[in-house]
Amino acid sequence: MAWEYSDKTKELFMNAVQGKDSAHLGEITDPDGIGEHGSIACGDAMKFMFRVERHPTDPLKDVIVEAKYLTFGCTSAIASSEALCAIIEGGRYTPIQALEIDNAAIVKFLEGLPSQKIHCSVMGAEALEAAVFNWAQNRGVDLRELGVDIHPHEQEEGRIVCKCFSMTEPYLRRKIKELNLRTISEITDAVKAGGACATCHHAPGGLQDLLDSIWGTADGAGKSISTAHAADGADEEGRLSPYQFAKKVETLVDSTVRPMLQKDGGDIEIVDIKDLLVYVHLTGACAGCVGAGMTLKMMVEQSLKDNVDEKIRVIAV
Amino acid sequence: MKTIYLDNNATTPVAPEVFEALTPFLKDQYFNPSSMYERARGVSDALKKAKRTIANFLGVGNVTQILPTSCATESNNAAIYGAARANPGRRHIITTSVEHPAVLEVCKDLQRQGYEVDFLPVDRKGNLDVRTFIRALRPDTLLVSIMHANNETGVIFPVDELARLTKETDPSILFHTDATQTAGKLPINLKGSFRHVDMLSFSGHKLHAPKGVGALFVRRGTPVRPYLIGGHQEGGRRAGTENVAFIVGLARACELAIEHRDDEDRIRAMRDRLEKSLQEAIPYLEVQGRAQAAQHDQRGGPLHRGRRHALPVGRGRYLRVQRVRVHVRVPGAVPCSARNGRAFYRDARLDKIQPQPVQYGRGHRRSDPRFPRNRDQPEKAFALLGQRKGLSHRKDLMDPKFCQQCGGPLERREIAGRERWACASEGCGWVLWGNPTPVLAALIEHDDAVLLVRNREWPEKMFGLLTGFMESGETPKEGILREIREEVGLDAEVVGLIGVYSFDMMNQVILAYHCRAEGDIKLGDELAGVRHIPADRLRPWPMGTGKAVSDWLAARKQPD
Repeated sequence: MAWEYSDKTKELFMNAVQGKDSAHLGEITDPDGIGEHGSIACGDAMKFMFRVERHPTDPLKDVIVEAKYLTFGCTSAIASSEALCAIIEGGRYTPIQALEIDNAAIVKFLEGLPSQKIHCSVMGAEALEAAVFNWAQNRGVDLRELGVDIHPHEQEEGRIVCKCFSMTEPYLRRKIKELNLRTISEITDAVKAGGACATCHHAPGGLQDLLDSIWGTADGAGKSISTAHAADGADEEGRLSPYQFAKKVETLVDSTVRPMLQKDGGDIEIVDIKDLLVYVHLTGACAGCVGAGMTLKMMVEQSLKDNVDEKIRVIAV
Repeated sequence: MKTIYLDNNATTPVAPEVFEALTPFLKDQYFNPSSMYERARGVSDALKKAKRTIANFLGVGNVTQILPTSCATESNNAAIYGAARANPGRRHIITTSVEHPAVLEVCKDLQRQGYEVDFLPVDRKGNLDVRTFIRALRPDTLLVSIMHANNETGVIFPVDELARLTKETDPSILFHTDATQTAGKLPINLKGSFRHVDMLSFSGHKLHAPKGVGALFVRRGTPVRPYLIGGHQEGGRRAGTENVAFIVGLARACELAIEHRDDEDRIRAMRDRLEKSLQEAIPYLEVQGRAQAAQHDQRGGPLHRGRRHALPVGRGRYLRVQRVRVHVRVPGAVPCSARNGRAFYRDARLDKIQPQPVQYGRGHRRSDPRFPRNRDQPEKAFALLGQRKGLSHRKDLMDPKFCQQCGGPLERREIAGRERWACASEGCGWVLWGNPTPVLAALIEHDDAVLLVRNREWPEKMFGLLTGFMESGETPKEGILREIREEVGLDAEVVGLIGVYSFDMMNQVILAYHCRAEGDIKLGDELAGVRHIPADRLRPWPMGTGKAVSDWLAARKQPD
């Protein structure tokens, strides 16, 4: 689960923690809009607020001039919050226009986020939405009349699907559709739901059921045994038939691998070849040798990769 | 009469410690563990502690991965149906042909629902071929369910290896194992050698907990849909108010099993002793499940305690199998059960074997001494066992279920002076006459000795006369010469007929010839080996072709 942050992410984070002038960490007294998302109990939470330049007659012409945040969370949560504020301040948006800023815009500004951290950018977009809702209430703007679909109460209403992160069915349904989430792990990456106890994954009415009811039941699952051949589709010509492939593997093992093993009193037997998986059995001195695992990976698998197909995997039997 | 309970692989008595641990929860501590008040808290704490103990027993850290169930059957059902329902994109299941019905029947049920199921065969010794297993893995394989040790043979399957191969091939294939026979007997570490196992079932009553409690391990994140729904228990993954008392009992039994792990050597010695005396009493006894056991020995692990004993008789046909299960821990109870073993192994298509389990040992529930006591008369022992269970080949033949002509039901009718099976359908008129089959046997003199042969299906030390069936259109003499040619590659001549013997148990008539042959022996497909025994050292056996040998020896001693 190692991940790499982009330079932009690291830079924004460092600016924030070092209290540089360009950073937006902090609070605005008397903000015009304030919204929160997440909860400290769940590992990250964000309070987002903005101040507008009020238009004397038409609140819809208010312009956001300052944005700040208080965020409890990791590097990418802080950096996402910074990104949100920077985008908003840089664009002189009206609050309604600001709603256009979604998590994708934040990810883009950060020059990418690891998939496990996408939820940080989603949190930013959600907090912004809540803040705009708050602004609308303060300024007497009826968002519904404007056709803006904001869902401030969906988190409080509806059946809880993910108990660990308190996420309700309406919220998850909207997020699954908005962010085009197709698998449980995509849901977890984006909104964290299902990331803790995992019992909601396949429970009746759980995450998989939501996915199925939105996208239809699973299709195309079950292609996991190395489908590299199919993926390669483009170069039909260079492709070996399973028989040719097996023949090539056997020839290579006979000509190079086996003589080397036999020198040390060992031998190798090809048990089966399944697509790009080659099952082998080391015999003689190799059987039970401590170095057998290394031999298999370094010598057998590497020479097959070099000479036959780089996607080959060797499995010891 | 003192009795010894030898059937601990079927079930075990509740250990006193377990009984003691669980009774408070049947008396004062009756609260619902889900209730909020203080006194119920004590119950829910006990439940949590019990689950933690069960988790430790399996080498699991996270308690939420342990689901208490009502029995291993429920665990297996929950695992298999749950996996199928959570992964609709995959439609292929791999299991073995010798699984417990709690797995086998579930797989067959899914087969009826359109799933493809591979029932992997096992060989004569009950072992699984890893190569066959690898070949069975497919891109759309949903689940592999292979038991840890077989409940009939005691053979231990290499679950750790099979799970690793499965996961290395495709991590999305789920691996389930039914460890009912091994939990508490073999160490199971789901973080160690079993780290590739996604789901594991076991039941309490095999390790001195009461009947009616079991557990299912489900590794965190394994896509399994709950089987019992309608409650928040176990995070909704196994609804229903917990059987607190029995779960606490199961936990105590798990602790005891850990404490008693060192007993294995003692139990093994006892088993070996019993096995030896059985083999002395019944010379043709074959022990199954030994190869695997030996293999396991080399790894330094303990043995499974169950063994299967088979008595092979006749041409490529096992007359019956006796099952002896040895795990002497608690003296003072009852012997083995065969239950559905017969039907079960028919399905298994174990090569040509059609074993038919026979109970034996003395039971306190039945007063007849069922064990053949006369060690000097194996023939009698055979007959006794055959009669008792009605499982001899003859009985099998003479006890058909349906008309072999029209498939209709049968009835007993008196026909030609004897009560026989006959077709009950009108106009069919089929009668089971049950005429014996002629069998040719040859006592061959070759290289100044008598040639004895061993059929491939026979146990290692069993040799007999060369035998074969007659083919249509040949005379008995032609038939026996042909058999000799086919089986040992010799051109022989018939010296004379020794005699004609009835072999009632196999419903056969043996025509035994005295033959002579010269030349080099070339073994045919059916034979595993030959032996030359000089006539003066030949000791006839008391059944089948042995009578012919004894007549031939007698005639030889008398001067012409």
